[in-house]
Amino acid sequence: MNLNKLLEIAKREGATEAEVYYSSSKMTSFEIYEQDMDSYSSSINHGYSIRALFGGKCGISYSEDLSNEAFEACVQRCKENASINESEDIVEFAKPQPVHEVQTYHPELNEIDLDEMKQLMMDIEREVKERDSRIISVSNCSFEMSENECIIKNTLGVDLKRRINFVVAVVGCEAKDENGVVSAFKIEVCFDLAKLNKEKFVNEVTEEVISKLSPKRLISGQYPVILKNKVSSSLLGSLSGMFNAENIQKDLSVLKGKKGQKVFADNITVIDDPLLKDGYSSFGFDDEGTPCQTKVLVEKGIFKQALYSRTSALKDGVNSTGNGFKSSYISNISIHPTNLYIQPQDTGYDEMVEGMSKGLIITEISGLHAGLNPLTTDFSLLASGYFVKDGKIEYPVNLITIAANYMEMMNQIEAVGNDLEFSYNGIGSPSLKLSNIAVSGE
Amino acid sequence: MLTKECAYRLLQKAISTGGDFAEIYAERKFTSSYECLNGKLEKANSGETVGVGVRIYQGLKSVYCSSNELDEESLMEMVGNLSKSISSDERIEVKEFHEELIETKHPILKPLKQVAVKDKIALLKRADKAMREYDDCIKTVQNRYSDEVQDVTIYNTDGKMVKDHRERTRLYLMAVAQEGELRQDAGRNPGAHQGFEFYDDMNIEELARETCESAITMLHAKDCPSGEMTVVIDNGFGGVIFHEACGHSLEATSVAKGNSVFCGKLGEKIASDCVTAVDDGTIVNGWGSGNVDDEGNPCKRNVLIENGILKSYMVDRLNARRMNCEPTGSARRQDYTFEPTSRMTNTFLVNGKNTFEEIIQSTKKGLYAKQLGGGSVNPSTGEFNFSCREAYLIENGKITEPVKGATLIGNGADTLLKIDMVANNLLRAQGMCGSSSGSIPADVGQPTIRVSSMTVGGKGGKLE
Repeated sequence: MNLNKLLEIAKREGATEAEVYYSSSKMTSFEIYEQDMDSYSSSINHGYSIRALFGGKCGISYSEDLSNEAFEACVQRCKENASINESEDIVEFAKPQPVHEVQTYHPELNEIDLDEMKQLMMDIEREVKERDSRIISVSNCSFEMSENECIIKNTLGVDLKRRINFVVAVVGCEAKDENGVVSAFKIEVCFDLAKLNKEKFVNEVTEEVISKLSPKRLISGQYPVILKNKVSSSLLGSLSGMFNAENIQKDLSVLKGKKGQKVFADNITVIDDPLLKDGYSSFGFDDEGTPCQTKVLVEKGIFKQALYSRTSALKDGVNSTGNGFKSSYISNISIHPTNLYIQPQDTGYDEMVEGMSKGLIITEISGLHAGLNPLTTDFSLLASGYFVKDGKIEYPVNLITIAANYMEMMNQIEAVGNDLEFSYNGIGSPSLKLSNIAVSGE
Repeated sequence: MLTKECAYRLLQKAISTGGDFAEIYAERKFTSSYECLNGKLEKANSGETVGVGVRIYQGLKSVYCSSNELDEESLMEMVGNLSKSISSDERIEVKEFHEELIETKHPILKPLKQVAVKDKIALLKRADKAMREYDDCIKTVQNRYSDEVQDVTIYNTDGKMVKDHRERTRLYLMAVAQEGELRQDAGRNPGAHQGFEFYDDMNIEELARETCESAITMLHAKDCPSGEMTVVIDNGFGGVIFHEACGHSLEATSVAKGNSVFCGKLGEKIASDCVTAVDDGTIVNGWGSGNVDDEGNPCKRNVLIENGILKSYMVDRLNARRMNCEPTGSARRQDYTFEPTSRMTNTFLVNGKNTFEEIIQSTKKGLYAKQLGGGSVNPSTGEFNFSCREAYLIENGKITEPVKGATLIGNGADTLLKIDMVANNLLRAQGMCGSSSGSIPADVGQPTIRVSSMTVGGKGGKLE
């Protein structure tokens, strides 16, 4: 594979500057069903994209074919796409700069014995089923190991490479009683196998599913609410586009014109930290070859900083924050957060529950891709959780919706928990306590 | 990309350790996409993906591998490694390939790769102009055109060799209306498994105006009330309710392992009498249509529910073994990196006896959901949710004011029994459906229907 060749072809075809992004992935996964390996899958995949400047206009094209003819065809498409580009945005590729060393590759994960993992997952499946007679099925019990290598090279001399690897274990199970079926799902992403604790895994998923049995519905109305850490991080993740400078420039973000202003309650600080150790979204440099750095986006409720790629930064006359990423070689560069989280404070989760005379803990929300409007930040989402009375969980609740405007909600946070937890997309939050939220039920 | 001879040798290798069936899926796909923001073409991207996926069965076990390192040596090594995860004393022969020549049911008159890029961009510009001229409060217009041309060849150890050529094109219109601090967006996304002639009869300007009108109407909408109420769901994309509330739970992916609420219910009444639902992959040039599915079986019209009685599931080859039935031509996958499984194609409720007017007039109080957004379902519990992009209150048999932020939730099995009126204005609409074998194009559809009682979530308090 000669990526320099691709840059040379681009130059020969008249490009002033060019950049190539190459990525290759290996994945192996299997699924256990009724004490046997029911499916197994492995894949090897690679591809590249080229961005190049022709007459000041940027073109982009991609391919999975590494032959010389494919290189030529890819550059031709790139040139054609540049010729029709009417954008006035200026594209400048990165110059070589020192980048932070972030450990994202764990050689010991390559030593994994798949037979051992198969045994582990079979044990988990069996133990989940045996834990309680009300557990009727384990609908998903799977394991995956992934490895990705990514290279970014350009004609200005940037030549960067990163490797990432991790393993994922997933268990989903169902329980049933006279009031119907409920389900629970647990996913664990690890960089270190020692952290894949079987007991913990089985305990957590079985306790959760049993605790959901015989859910009740609620009468519609306003209720005080604790948003469990995972729920708050899902909301933040789905709305993280508000920090995207491109959205702000296009007037598609509620934060347009709000820099330096108060947008959230005083107790809310939001950070984007690509350098976090063992973060799920840690990077030393972004997909444009810009070094990544830690930023405080919202400090005590004041909006301080947006997330930038190179082009959006040039537009505002600032430096890229190193947030220009591609989801694969097929996509364009767009702005993504890395490890984005709400800073935890001192209230314990149990303390929050104990302090609640009557209210709800929301532990799950669904339909984020549809029931939430990123433009207005209004949301109305299917939710489930537990009803709390006098500081104690009374019963599980399902088939309700919670509805609010995120910006209004984040101005009424009564307490921020100390239980920061990251989701597997790198977005994190502690649990949040709200004075009330609109709940729809019966 | 892969010769017949090489495919044969790969299949021989695949079953060398005792597999009782093996299949090769070879795919080449060319994609292009253009995005226009406020009159300027801002993004153009195009490219090609090419790869092979191989799977081996042994009883109910299935193993899969995929790669885009396509020289025979690499492929042999990969398949050899894959076959190591199968072990049995059984040996089968790979049957000689007989290429099935299929006559396309989905004519492509103007092949997408032959259409000049400027013509594709011209569509975007026409829509953009109509939208920005529509009203001063339309502040942002972002339109996108995308198309893909896919060639697949499927070989299997039964001697099957079949090729399919698929072309799909789609337009995404999005307008943002703004007045002071108020903003609202709206979109329309028509698409088809067809050539560029898809746009010949389309009134782009009309579609553009409709998009803007939707955004402007919702700009001044008040918050949707919440609670249990009667809900009228309009035709077209409204069919996403059936897709989520029932369709996913009828896919063998959920049914085969006993994880669906509709398991073991064939021949039983699962919906009210006025409900007949079909999954039809044969609709000419339909967005979710094909000549053959991704296992090489002909796409079919499957009646899922007839007058409320469950008639059929959607079944792929592997799950057919588990369920002891025939596959239904429902195996689909995003691309060669995914193992196929049973998925929907074009799924819709068929026409009923009522008219749209009758349904509205006979509804004293409730919600009229005109445009729905997406949704999701948990097939093991049947709990679903989806959002309304454009909705109105119904008061005393009349559609009154617009309301925003409505989410409809429920349990699929309950909701199917509560559909009490079905109109005669069937319309289909296009969507992308995500599940275990990736994101695939799928049509949803229905005539206008009424659900006697449903939970509506919004922040506007109780419905007075």
